[in-house]
Amino acid sequence: MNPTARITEIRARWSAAVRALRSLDRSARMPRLLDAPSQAGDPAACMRAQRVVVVGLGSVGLAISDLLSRASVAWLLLVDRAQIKPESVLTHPVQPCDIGCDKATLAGQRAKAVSPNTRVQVFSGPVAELPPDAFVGASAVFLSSDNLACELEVSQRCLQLGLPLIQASVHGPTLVAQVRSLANAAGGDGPCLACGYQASDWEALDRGTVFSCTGGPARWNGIPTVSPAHLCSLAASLAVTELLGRSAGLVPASESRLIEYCGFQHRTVVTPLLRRAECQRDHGRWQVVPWARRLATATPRELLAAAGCTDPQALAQVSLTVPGFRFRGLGMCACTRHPVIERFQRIGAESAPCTDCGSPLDFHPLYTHAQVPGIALRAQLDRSLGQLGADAADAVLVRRHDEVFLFHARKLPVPANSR
Amino acid sequence: MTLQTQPAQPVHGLSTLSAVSLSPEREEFMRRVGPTSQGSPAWRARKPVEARELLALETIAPRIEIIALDLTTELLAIVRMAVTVPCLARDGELVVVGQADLALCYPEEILHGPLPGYALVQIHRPRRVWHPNVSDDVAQRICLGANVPKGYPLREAVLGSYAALTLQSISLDQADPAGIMNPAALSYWNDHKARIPLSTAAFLDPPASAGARRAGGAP
Repeated sequence: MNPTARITEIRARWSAAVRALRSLDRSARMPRLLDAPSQAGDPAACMRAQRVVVVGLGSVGLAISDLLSRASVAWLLLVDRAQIKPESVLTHPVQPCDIGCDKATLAGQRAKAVSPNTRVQVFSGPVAELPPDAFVGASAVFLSSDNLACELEVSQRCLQLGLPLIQASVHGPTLVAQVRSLANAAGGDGPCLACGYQASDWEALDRGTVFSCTGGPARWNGIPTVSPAHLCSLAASLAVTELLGRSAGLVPASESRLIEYCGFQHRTVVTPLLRRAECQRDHGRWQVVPWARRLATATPRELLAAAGCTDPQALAQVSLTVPGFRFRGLGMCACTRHPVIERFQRIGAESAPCTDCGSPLDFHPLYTHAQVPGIALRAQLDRSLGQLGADAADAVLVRRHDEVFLFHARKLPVPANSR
Repeated sequence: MTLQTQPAQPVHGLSTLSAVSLSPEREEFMRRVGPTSQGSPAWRARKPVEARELLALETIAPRIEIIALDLTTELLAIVRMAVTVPCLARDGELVVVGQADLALCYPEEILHGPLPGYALVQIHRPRRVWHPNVSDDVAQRICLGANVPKGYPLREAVLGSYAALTLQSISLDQADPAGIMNPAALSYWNDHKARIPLSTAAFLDPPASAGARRAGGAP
């Protein structure tokens, strides 16, 4: 994890316009749905209650973010690692003055300006560097990235947390706008994005291929997909309509499907998506456990007990991970062969000096763990994570047999707009 | 006159590692690690396969010895290898030592997608390795390429490390940052290409003596 990349909050700049926007009756422009289920009676309320993550803020994702802010969703977490480039102006809903801006920050500022009551957070970095609890509390995740590694990372997180995933994409040469809508429903056996991967997709993943929608000459490992802006905004609209359908109960909660619109014939095809039995991804669901106080004050024993591991003999079957930290059991120094450390250390941090000779301690590769075996913690079970060096622990993963428990102390986003 | 001979031992190579018989101690080790191995079912199934291949490689390759192996969470191993390693001596001279301890960390993520080329192997000993594809820090990570593909076998990481350390396989392209971990060492080896490779011995050849030798010239 990159310690410099952080989730940051976008705040409204107070003005008369903001006050006017805050007091708008935002339901007035949202229709009642004809012949809809009872919970769809107030679609505006359905959308206002949504807590949404958008990963990938290019031609499609930026349009999704704009549409969600106009629906006044409760919470938006916007994720992208890139900046607006000159060629982005051709396909993204941006202006030339936006060139050079962080995509996530720009999208966040625009969303907050349109919907001051929406809580808006942004992350300008790779999605893989988000903490594992970053999506906790979300009601849906939108994905419109340009690379398969990001796709798989987001798909895996949604599977683990049981979040609906709506992926929007386009194929310019066939004028196709496509939305994959994955239910990831509790108790379901639905598909993940990798269930649909063919051999060529895995090859593209290994090559790190980037399917950029900004056009222009192909860069190293880049394939421009030359996507017209109108097709991208159409894909975004289809995706947001799918969210409305899911939140209003128009789509069965356990149904996963592919929606394809083709501009050649103006035809739309909806196809069910099913899990592939031989999918190589782990389809296991995590148990998400809110922790009432700061995790730095929790001891390994408390966390293991909360995961159902109270028997000291069972330590051999559990492990504990503090994202962003490694546990160092032993060090190595020229003066002392294996000094005991038994502390967490932030990834990338300098080693503590040897207490005897002052020279930097080497880590011992066999006793350094990201996923710490329970056995390695047996002498430290009653010291808090903070005392063990993980004073900035935001989340902890405990694995016991095939079960994974995600402990987090995250304050869930509260809808600022409860009108 | 007939000559009575022992039954012929099959000759194994890198392509027949799965057919190599392990010593009884190694077989016993493999039996013992099974119950303590953690992770998803796919990961628990994969780790013994990779570990067995590593032990089979040790059986047929006289230049490596598995010092330690742990399958509890990540697959961790320390491999002692008879190999040429360019290092800086205290006086700043380049010396080539004959042995390295490689720390292998093979994480579950390798099942799901490609990893950065520097994610798997670190040089634990010796220190102060002077190599373009080895990071000039405490970790001393070996970069095996821009990335290693999904499912990359651990044995390939060992073979790739041997090729890198002997300079049989080396990235010296200043324009391609993928693989370059030490730009100063890159400049040095670009100026001393005549010394490349440090050894032409194949991985399965018996190793030469492991003494250090001066390569001459201060980087």
